[in-house]
Amino acid sequence: MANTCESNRLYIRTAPQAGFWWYWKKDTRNLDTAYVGDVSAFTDYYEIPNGGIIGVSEEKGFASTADFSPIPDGVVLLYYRDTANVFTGTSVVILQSTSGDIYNKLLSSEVDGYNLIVRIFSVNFQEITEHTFPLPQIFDNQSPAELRTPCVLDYTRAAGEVLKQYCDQYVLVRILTDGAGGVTYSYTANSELCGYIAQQPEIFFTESKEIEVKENCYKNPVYVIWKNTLGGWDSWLFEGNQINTIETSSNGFYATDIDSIADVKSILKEIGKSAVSRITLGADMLTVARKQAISQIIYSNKVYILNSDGTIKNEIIVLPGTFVVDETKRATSSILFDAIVTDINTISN
Amino acid sequence: MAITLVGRPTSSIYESSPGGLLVSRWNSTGRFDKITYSFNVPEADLGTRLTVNVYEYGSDLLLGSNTYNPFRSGIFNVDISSFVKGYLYSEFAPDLDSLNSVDLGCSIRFYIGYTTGVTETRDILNPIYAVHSAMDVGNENGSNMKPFVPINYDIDDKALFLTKFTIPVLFTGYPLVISFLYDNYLAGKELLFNVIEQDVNGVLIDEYDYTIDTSKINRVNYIIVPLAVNSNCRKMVVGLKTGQDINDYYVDSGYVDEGYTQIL
Repeated sequence: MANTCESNRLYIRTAPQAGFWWYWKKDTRNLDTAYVGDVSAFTDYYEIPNGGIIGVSEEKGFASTADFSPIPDGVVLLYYRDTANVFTGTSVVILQSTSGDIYNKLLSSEVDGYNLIVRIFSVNFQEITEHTFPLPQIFDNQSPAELRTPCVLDYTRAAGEVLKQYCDQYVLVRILTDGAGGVTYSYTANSELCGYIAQQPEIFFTESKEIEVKENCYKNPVYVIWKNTLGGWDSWLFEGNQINTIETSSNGFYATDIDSIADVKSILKEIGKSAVSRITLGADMLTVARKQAISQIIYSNKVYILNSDGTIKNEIIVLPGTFVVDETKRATSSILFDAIVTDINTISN
Repeated sequence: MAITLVGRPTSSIYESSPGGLLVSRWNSTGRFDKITYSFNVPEADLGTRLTVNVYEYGSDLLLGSNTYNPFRSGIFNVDISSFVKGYLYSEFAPDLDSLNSVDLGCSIRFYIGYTTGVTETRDILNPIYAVHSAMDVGNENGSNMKPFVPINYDIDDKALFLTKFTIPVLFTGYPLVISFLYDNYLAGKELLFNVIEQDVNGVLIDEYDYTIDTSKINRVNYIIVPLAVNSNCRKMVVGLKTGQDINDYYVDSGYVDEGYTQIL
């Protein structure tokens, strides 16, 4: 390729193989180092067309930012700035045009997701030029910030080529090892991917559980949910006939003092009664497997009656006893149990 | 020589997997369950007191502590289940407006620290889960809940849901809850709850996915099974799925980067 460089022009190449070139006119004014880092004062810029002429006009090299006073002619200071245009620090990157070398003071981890700002300071600081190049945000994680091989007409990446992409707070996590299959993956505006990354097929990590769906036509439904021994919650709708009872017990009696039996209506008084609401639930025509699952109600440590919206209606206590779980000669089974629903608040004398 | 930790309450799948040793770290805490750590006591350390502390993973809250005095050399087993049982309870309180939510009180994640003197060694890289559950007597994995943990699922051994029903019933008009162990092996993966609807004859009507809230990881999760979309659905087949481990990033052939200029 013929060298078409013009004199008095400084060219920057961001990576030996990137092929990115910007060119601008060199100024000859001084720059006070105090301005380094104070980007808020720099609002004027003009577009520098990216791409352009490949070539070298002059070489500048600096070991540290201390060398920036005064800024020599033609030095380009590059800042990394986040998308909110907040300056992130005093680190600067000096990329200078050489036959192929780069001076890069920043690690890729410091510039991820940031825009590359090219700022050109004139030596008398009267004219500032700046251009922002949105980084493709693609970095080789093993080396300093490096732009990928450019997108050229009909240029494609080989399947299996390593890529890591940063897209506004998250990383695409789709991989493909053989270039086949998958779906087109959507990308954010910052990703600027013009291809697609196919993903591995999704796989089940749990069993496939069959669930029977019953229509809503229940008679006298009572929906019970209980803690099973696996730590999960099982449930069943008891319908048909439930028996609601109230069990009472006396809190005791006392005799009243009397002056004359002629005035007495009664001698024995009762202190009061305790009352407990109970329910008897049952289900029949159950398969053996279903009966065994429902049987966990009778020794579960937590059993509730739920409303249809899933909220708790009552916490119930299944009364202990002896229960027939299964009869081997029967094809279907049934279950019947009593539970305390609640203590009733009563009045005492 | 010193007393060293040589065994944890885990149940391994295999040792030469792509991800290294895969283990189930979930343990039940029923009446007869034990959560046992094993220590090797050299002869020279007989008479040394061993203090074992149990900490909640994440908060480092001390859950319990005990000091032991091994009286013979060899393997010394410490059951710490009593330290964590007190923090577990049963309460039905799912978020009825979300697909999945944490069953608070159903599990706790912890690790142990142990010391024979001043310096404590904390086994924080190997956190264990205790679950408010009780494995069946005769369970081949003992108190370990391996069949319910999603590991090795890309080959076989799909994790089981925490239900005793072979075929649960969704009574339309009432919520059906199904629980699973959301293990750390699923960290960083997208999780989907897949639903297949079938009619009374088992013919496919529809299939769709719901997205699981991945912030509920490392706990026992309820899933409120969504109502069938189609009115003629009489059977559902449900399951949880995810993508595979991401080890590296590759591009498909035909991928072209945008935003670059052409080299002339």
